[in-house]
Amino acid sequence: MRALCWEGVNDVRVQDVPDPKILDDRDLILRVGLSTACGSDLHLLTGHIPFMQAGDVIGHEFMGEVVEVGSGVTRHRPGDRVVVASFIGCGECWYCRNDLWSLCDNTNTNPGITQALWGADPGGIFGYSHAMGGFRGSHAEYVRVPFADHTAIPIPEGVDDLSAVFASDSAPTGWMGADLGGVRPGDVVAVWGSGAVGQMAARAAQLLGAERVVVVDRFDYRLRQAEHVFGVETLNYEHTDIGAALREMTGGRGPDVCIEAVGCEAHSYGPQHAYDQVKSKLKLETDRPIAVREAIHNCRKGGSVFVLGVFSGLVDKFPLGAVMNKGLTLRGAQQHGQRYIPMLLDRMASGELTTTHLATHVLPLEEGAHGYQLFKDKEDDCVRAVFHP
Amino acid sequence: MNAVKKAVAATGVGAAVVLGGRAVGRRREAHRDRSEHWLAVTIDRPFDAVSGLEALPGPLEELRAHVDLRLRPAPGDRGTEVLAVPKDDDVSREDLRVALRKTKSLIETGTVIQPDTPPTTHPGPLGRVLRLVVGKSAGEGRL
Repeated sequence: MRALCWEGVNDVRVQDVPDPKILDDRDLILRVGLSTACGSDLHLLTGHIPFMQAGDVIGHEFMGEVVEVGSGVTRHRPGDRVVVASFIGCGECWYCRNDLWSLCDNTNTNPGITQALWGADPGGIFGYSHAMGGFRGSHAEYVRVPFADHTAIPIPEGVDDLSAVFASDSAPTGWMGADLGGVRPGDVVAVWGSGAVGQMAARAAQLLGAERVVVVDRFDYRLRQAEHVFGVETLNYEHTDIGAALREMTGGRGPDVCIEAVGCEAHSYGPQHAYDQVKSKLKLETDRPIAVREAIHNCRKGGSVFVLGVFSGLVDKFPLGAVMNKGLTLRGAQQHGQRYIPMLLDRMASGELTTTHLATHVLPLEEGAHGYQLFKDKEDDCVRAVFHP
Repeated sequence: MNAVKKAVAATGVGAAVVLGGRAVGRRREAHRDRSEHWLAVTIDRPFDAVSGLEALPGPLEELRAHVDLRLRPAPGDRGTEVLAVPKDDDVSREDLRVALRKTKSLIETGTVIQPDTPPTTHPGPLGRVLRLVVGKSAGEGRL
């Protein structure tokens, strides 16, 4: 089959790879319908996450049609249309049973790497390096879905493919940030990042009752999209002092909940950006936590900061003093997709949650490399490149 | 029934283990190297269910003659803690880690998940180095 493979730093190519096979009776084989690039893939492309082998199939946010099921699969049949959570959940460990699906105890086949890095291993994820299980990704014609009864979720009638593909990761990740960040009716919520995940977090905050939602970014076209589709307020940090603006918008308090949806390769301007660039180039810090610092600094006293962006290791100049002295609650997580996906699909069906606007570029899989170039370089107002095999 | 009585009453696996032993109890920690610590996993199944098994599934049972093994209930009804340490040189701590992880997965899910094979057809020189790391990964970590 054809698949988009990581071949080296900033080098992805469509190649012939072996077809996937059912390896366990709870696997299914999916014919991929749509599979979208994700901002976290860029950390693989840039070599930021150094656990890739040439020829690894990337992609983790996808939907499609079931073509084969193992004998132990009870919830799906060939012909079913499903969306697949990016994290594989066994459904049987303490974490899965407590709806903390991305922390599954039994799906990372290489636990030693992340245990050494982080003290414990999260679950396995499709197409996201050998540190996260070494599973083939979804930018392919077919993909094997382990523990299919838990990892694949049926798509209801009334939700089209292009909407549903974002229920795989972007929408549940964003929802989780607002939900576990503790958004309550009447809150002011600030979201750093207006990519797909940031926009989904902003929409989730609205649906959870936030009175004002402010999205921060540097790309006007993305801010315009968030403003147009969801009616949020926006701030461009290249033109506005974010702290001053947020204080003015909140009567001097600061946002109740701050959601960071940027990740470890954040940009900024001025000395802070130069400092972090130098430190990361010299490997004196692995991640650039610029948006996290800003979220913590600007959050109101006693407020909540949720880290949605992907980080891999160590950061420098972390404002722990602000966390402690302002009494902040700081949380983060990879997405617990299975917890939210059915509810989000229902919201898509009802029209509450719009996602298709995120798919600014829908391309054949054969144009995968071009799609990633558009996505990475923010060319042609790209928000997401979505591939169809 | 308290934990010790449960262990005494248990048959199968439970009868073959020493529970709540001094080496893993809540005593003050003496100076010990990492290599002397017991390796442990928590299985999300009740103590009675795990200790009542005829035999633990998977490779842990195959290593039984060469390891000391203890089971105890996890606090807060969070399952069963399984602790093990090699008692001779026939079993490495790496092999024991792999066995503990596989046994936990087998009890919880009935299977051990496998990555796609082959993961890649042309890993390249750096990929081959990574394969060596990954090949050892299952036996390493912080158990």
